[in-house]
Amino acid sequence: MKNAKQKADVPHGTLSLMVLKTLDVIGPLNGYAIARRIEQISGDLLAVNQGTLYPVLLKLEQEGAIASEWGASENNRRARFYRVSRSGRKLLQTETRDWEQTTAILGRFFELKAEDLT
Amino acid sequence: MRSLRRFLARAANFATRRDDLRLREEMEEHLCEQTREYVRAGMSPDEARRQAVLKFGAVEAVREKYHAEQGIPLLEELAQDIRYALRLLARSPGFTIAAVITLGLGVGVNASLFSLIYAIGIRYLPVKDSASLVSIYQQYRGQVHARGVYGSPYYLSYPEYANYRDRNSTFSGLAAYAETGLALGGAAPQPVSGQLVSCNYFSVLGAEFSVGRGFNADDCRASAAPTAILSHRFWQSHYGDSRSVIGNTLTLNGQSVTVAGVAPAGFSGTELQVPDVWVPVTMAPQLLPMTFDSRDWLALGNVSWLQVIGHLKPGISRRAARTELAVLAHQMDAIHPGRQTVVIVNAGSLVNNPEERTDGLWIGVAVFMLGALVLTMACTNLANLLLSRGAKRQHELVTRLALGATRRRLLSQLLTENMLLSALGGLAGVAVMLSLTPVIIHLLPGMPSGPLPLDLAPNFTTLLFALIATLMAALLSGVAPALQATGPDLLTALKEGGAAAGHGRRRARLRDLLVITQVAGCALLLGLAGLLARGLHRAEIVAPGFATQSVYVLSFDLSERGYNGTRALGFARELRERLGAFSGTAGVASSTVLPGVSADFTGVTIPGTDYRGEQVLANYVSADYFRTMEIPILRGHAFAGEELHAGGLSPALVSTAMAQRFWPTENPVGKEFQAGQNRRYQVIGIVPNVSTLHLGQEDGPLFYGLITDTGAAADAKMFLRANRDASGAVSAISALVRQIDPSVTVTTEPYQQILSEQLLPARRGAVLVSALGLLALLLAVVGVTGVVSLATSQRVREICIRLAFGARRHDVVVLLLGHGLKLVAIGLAAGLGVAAGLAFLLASNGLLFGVSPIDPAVFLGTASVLFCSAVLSMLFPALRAIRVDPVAALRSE
Repeated sequence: MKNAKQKADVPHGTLSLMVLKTLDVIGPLNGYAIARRIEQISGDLLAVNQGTLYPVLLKLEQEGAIASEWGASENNRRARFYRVSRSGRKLLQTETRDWEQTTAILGRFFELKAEDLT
Repeated sequence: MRSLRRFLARAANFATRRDDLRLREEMEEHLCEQTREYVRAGMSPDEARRQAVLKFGAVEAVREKYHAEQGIPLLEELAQDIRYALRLLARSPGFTIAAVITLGLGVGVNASLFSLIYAIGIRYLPVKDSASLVSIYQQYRGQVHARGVYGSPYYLSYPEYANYRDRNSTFSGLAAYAETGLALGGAAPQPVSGQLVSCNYFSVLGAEFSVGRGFNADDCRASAAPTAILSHRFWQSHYGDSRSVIGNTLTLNGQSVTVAGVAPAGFSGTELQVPDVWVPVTMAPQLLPMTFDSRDWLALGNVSWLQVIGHLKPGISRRAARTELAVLAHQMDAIHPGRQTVVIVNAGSLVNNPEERTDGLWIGVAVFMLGALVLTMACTNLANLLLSRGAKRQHELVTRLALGATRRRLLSQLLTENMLLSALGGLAGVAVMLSLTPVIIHLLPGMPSGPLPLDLAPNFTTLLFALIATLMAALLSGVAPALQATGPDLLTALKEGGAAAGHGRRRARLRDLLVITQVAGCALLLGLAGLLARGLHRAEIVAPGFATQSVYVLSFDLSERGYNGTRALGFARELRERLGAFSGTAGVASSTVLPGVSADFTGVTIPGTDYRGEQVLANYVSADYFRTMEIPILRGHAFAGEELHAGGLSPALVSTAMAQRFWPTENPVGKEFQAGQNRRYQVIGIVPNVSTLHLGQEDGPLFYGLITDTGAAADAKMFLRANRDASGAVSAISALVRQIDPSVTVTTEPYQQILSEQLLPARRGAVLVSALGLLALLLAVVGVTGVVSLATSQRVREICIRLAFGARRHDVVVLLLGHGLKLVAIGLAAGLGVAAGLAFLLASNGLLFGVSPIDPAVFLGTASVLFCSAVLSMLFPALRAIRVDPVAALRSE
């Protein structure tokens, strides 16, 4: 509980973007593997409340950005594997561009000094 | 695009009720892999599993979020509410049935009244392009120069119609028609309803003929052979669908006409009374009576007798048409200095005449008020039921609130329940409307008997009305109880075990008010129904002061046959003599007035007094009238004969009321007075009062003059009173009339039948009000029972304590009834008070037939019926309440 309070909630929309990117780069994965990858890359962002990943997966699937099917996991158990669809890839591109633009603008604001505005 | 896809997926999940089996499997798999990972890192299996679960987070929250993402939460909540409401309603069928019936009756009665008013006064006539159909009437201001009226003063004359028709630029066609009764057949004519119509009538209304043809311009030429068109119904009933009827000859009012065509099946004309026969308007001089000193109906310019209907050209508004016609009317006003014509252009529905629309509006308003009263009672009933239910469910609501439901959620649950109930009630209402409308139509006062050209099938507007009425009823009856049930006192209620003191009292006060309203509404309707019924009864049993038993009324078409007063007198005298010769005849007499049906007022001046132009009733009769009608002569003597009193004084008999009015202290016999066109009369006798104006009610001042003194002899009726053997004289009537003049037709009807038909509108009104009154009684009984049974069920603890302390059961019943009876008494007083007020209004319109507006029998009767019903409906729950075992009841509390 203490941990959760210290860490900010995952910003709205970023988790789905991370999911898309992960799947796009690595290929089909099951839920646990996606969670692990995001955890590894983002540090501790998804160290707790990994379960929140599943509603996001469902949302992306219902939007048609990803597709899923049953497959066998590493230890040969039934697991649900997700992969990016074509429209998911397109979505990822636009979202990436948007994010880059946003961060670029914000970056410029963070570098802003008082004299720049005078 | 994406959100649409997401929504569709959610909707599909919602519809297929997808569960979260997949999620649970995925979650389990996730936990397994995480646990294995931790074990590999060196944890004990138990610890590894614990950490994995911790890392995963709150499973239930995830599931809930997943579920919310999967489906549509609002809809799911609603579906849940509906399922719950359905279960609840099904579990208390008594309540549900009572509520649905109550609402159904209330909504149904109003919806069917509305659909009637809609069909008669609002819906366009069922003809081609009905939206552009308008009707045209005229109204006059200023000096009207003794305009003749045949039908309604708002009608037009033929020259006025022709002027509008030929000179307008806003209408694509203008047709005119006049309603009239016709006699069909030569030897034994039967009455049929007819219309004289302009020859473009059928083409303007777009009627397409499959049998024969409609009228064309040739039929209206002066030289044209007379033609007629039959209605489809008349054709079927009289000619059995035979096409060979075309070209046949009919005799109408003694004129031969050729059948030119049969109107199409769906064509019912432009009036409530569907005509059997249409004839060209140019036959008016032959078919209509001679009046206004002329036969030439088509040339008379200052006479109202035609109704006009027409189609506007596309894009032309009613206002534009009226403006144009007003200019034309203004030009015509130039011939009649001081007269201003106001043109009225109405939409083309069944009842267009401004006069009829005003009358109809009042009937509609009155009937609607009764309907609204019933709906109000239904609403109070439902509110009552819901309040009781809210009280009974308090425990459940409190528990749900305590378990974490929000007030909004509870309220939406209760409102859903209410809406569901209303929807069921509304459906019941539509069912009631469908079955009630055809019944009510024949109860509306002033409707012609026989089939009506009304389309009563439900349509968008009437269904919308039913929906609005349902919604209003639901809101009126549902919101207050729902708010009260979920109100802020709930927690207090929880603490006090459902008997919250202050809250309970407020609720009880609202309920008391509802009971009072119900009883008052019921008392009002029953009181009025009682008065109307008693008035009718009185009109039927109270002797009108003249003979009606085995009296026959003979009517002739003398003025239509061109008889003037002198010829008519001769005709009547000869017929009276011949009829009098039969052994079965007890008396024959002529009279210009048909007492109980028609009346005639004249101004009377008494020389040497202040009485000038006093309005009194007048009746001009033949000498034998008093003997025939069995009216005794109280003083003086009856008419000796019919000889004209040239120049001098005419004899007159006066009624007791007239004698008392003008000569209260003297003997009226021998006195003089002037009446009519300065004719001087001398009183030769006094007769008792009779009921000419209103059945059941004695007339005011009335005098009898000789029929020879009036010019109206051609319109006089003849009375034949038969003794034991009526058949001889009565069956000979037609033959005797034919012997005197073969062209004259006579109608013979028993007087009692005529009088009974006269009472038809009043009888219909009484039946309507009585039916609504009984409905109200039913509603009131249900309501009162519900309230009292609830009140007693809430006082079980008190009752038990009283019983435990030795109160006698009888005392407890009195205690329980006491409060209810107080409410009933207040409601009765209020309702009967309003009823008395309305009754004075009815009495002043002659609808009570002499029954006092505060007739004690009716008022006491209503009060006792309501009181007994109320006591009975209260006794049942009260008796049940005292039968409980005090110990068991207290323990369960």
